[in-house]
Amino acid sequence: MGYLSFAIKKVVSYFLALFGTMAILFVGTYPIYTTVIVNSANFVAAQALRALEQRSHTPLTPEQIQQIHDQIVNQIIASYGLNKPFEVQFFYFLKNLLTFNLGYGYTNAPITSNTGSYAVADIIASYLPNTILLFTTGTIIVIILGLVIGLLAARYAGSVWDRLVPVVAVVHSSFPTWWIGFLLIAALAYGVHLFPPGGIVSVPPPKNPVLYALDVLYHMALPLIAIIIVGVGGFAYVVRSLVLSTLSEDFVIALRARAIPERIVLFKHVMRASSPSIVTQVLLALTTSITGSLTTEVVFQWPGMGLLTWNAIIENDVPVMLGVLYVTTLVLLAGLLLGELIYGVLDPRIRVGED
Amino acid sequence: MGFAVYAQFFIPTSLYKAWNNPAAWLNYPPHVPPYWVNYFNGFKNPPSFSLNLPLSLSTKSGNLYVYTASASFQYAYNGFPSGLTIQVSNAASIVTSYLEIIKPDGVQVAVSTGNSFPVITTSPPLTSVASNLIYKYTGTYPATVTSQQVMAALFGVDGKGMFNETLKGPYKVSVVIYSNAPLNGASVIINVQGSSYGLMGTDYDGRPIDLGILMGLPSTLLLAVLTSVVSVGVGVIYGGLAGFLGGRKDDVLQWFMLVVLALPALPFLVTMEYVFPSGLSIIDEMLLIAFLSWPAYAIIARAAAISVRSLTYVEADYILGVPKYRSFFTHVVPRLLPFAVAYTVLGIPGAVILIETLAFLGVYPPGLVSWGEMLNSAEANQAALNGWWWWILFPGIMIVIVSAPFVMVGYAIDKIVSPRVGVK
Repeated sequence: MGYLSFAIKKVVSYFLALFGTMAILFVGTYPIYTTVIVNSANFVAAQALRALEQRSHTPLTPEQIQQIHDQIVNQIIASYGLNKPFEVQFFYFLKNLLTFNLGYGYTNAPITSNTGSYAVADIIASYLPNTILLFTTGTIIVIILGLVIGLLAARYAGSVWDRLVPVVAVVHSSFPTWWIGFLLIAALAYGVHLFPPGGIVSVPPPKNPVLYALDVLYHMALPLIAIIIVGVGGFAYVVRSLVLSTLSEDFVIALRARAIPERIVLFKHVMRASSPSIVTQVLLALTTSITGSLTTEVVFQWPGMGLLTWNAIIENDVPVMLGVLYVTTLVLLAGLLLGELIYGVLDPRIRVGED
Repeated sequence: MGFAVYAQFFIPTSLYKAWNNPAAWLNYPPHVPPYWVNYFNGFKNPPSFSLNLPLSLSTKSGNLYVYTASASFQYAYNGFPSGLTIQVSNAASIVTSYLEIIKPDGVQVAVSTGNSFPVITTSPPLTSVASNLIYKYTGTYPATVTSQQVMAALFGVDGKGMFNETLKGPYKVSVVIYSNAPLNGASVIINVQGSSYGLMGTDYDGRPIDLGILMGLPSTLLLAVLTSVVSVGVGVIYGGLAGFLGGRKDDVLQWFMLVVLALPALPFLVTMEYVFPSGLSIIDEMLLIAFLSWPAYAIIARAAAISVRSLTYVEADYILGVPKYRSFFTHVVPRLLPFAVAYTVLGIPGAVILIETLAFLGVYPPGLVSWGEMLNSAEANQAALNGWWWWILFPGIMIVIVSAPFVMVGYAIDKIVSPRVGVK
């Protein structure tokens, strides 16, 4: 089986999974999903009526008002398919979702996109990049540090440093990232005023693009430190275990018997052999970091998906919350698919299938 | 574990109900550090103490009963108390009350404290008196009078150093109470609220952190253990079946695994809180978290089951016509059991963190005390900005203390059951 057919098979299976996941979300959120649509339909109808009343010279009769109101509401409800049978509604739901037609957030809640739009898709489009920026940077640093520490620990297996890795892994992976963030803010931001306590840029933001980027980096420092503290130990431990298990294989003994320098054995041969497993770990960590560390953003007031969820909870903005849920699901699935595809490149065996 | 059992059986349920009722904690000093900070700063943070004053009837005219009570105490601390409250047990008939304090230097403070019993916080009624005292001592009127300044006026020395130095010596407190019914057997309690409390300090409402931590322990452990057991149990059996059966059935089972894996845990659970507006019970929350977390274990179990399937004795079973379900239970399940045990133990810390994170976001069973909720109110009251480190540090450290042993035991079991990974 070539890589292309492997990739196609994977993409198809992920589309089927998307279908199933969305079915669960649809059934799970159905009560609030319908309420949201009916509410927004009523809101649109009321606004249209008000505009109509201002334009018309004679006041409308109550019957007319009722008629126009019902007409508009029914129109909107029909556009979401809510007048159709339950299973047909699902396809309308899926279509709206895949075209990013996520409806509008409540206009009395102060959640808008950068441009002031209330469309949920716009709001998410302005928050999602910040999340990706923070967590991809964080995960990349974690991966680099974890690889170096894990490889060194494996090379000097049995030394004091090697024994320290599991301890650090245990203690650090039991920290909730947001709690570490909390402590860091108390100590480094308010205690010694070394870093800003939160946000993504200073107020007002610097005009110069270079200064702007530096300012963002400065604000990113504390959340990054928190992510690194929590992530590195566990990842280094995983790398160490995988590398150690590869080190005990026959081909390593053969390489050593040929007096190949230990450095080359470790970084060239062992790294290549254990890279597929490491990459799986990395991608799993990356995708879960996007949804798993949402609370970290709340603590640091980082304007990403986590803070958006938090604000939606506080403002009771249900449409935004549903939108966040649907879009994070999409991102998660896309991340998992990407992981499988990269895994297929690195480990040709997987393309053949396990059977 | 011992603490959890203690908290479960010895903390009265009324305390759980009172936790979210600020009125129940008026007698406790709000946001003060733990007592042991005194060992580092030269005893600047006195603990709380209370004086029990027996009431005696002084005069009675018609329907009006006048009671007086007085006591004196020595004050020898280097720091100021954080507040002063008056507490009377059966107080429905009280019309009004007066508080009088005579300081060691003879300065007399008297103020009407009203009748909003059972607990009266004296800082608001003392504000103008304190303002006058500060003028007398320092020569300037303060712009605003905080409760710290009221305490400095009551317990500080005469002169400009009044905010830094306490006046040590005997203080005399007396309370006069006017009531329109006899207060038989009632007594007055004066609480001098310290500026330190217990092992871990108190939060913004005066709730002791150590008590909250103890009260949060049983529910956290119960939820985490249940979640981990259920999700690993379901995951291992499901993944084992998928790997063992193979082929079409495996594809379908794997599809559903992926479907659930793609659900983002936090947004999903938060939204579920809105779908069930009456709130989630412990069992609901446990089932929801378990529903989201079993696929991770199923993936591992499936890989293990695949390797079992191609073993000679399993194939022999197949050739001999042994039913598939029988060889699943005789060959696959026993080989998966050690994994299941290790991952159950390893899953508990993850569950603890997820539960507390959810509680921090406001998703937790009503009527329970949880560390995440404590940290949430710390965030809401800007504990980091105000430097109330004990409020942030201890609930979070508990998460680590509860998680770490499970991780260690889990790693140890993991090393034994998968010897290929643990080397040397």
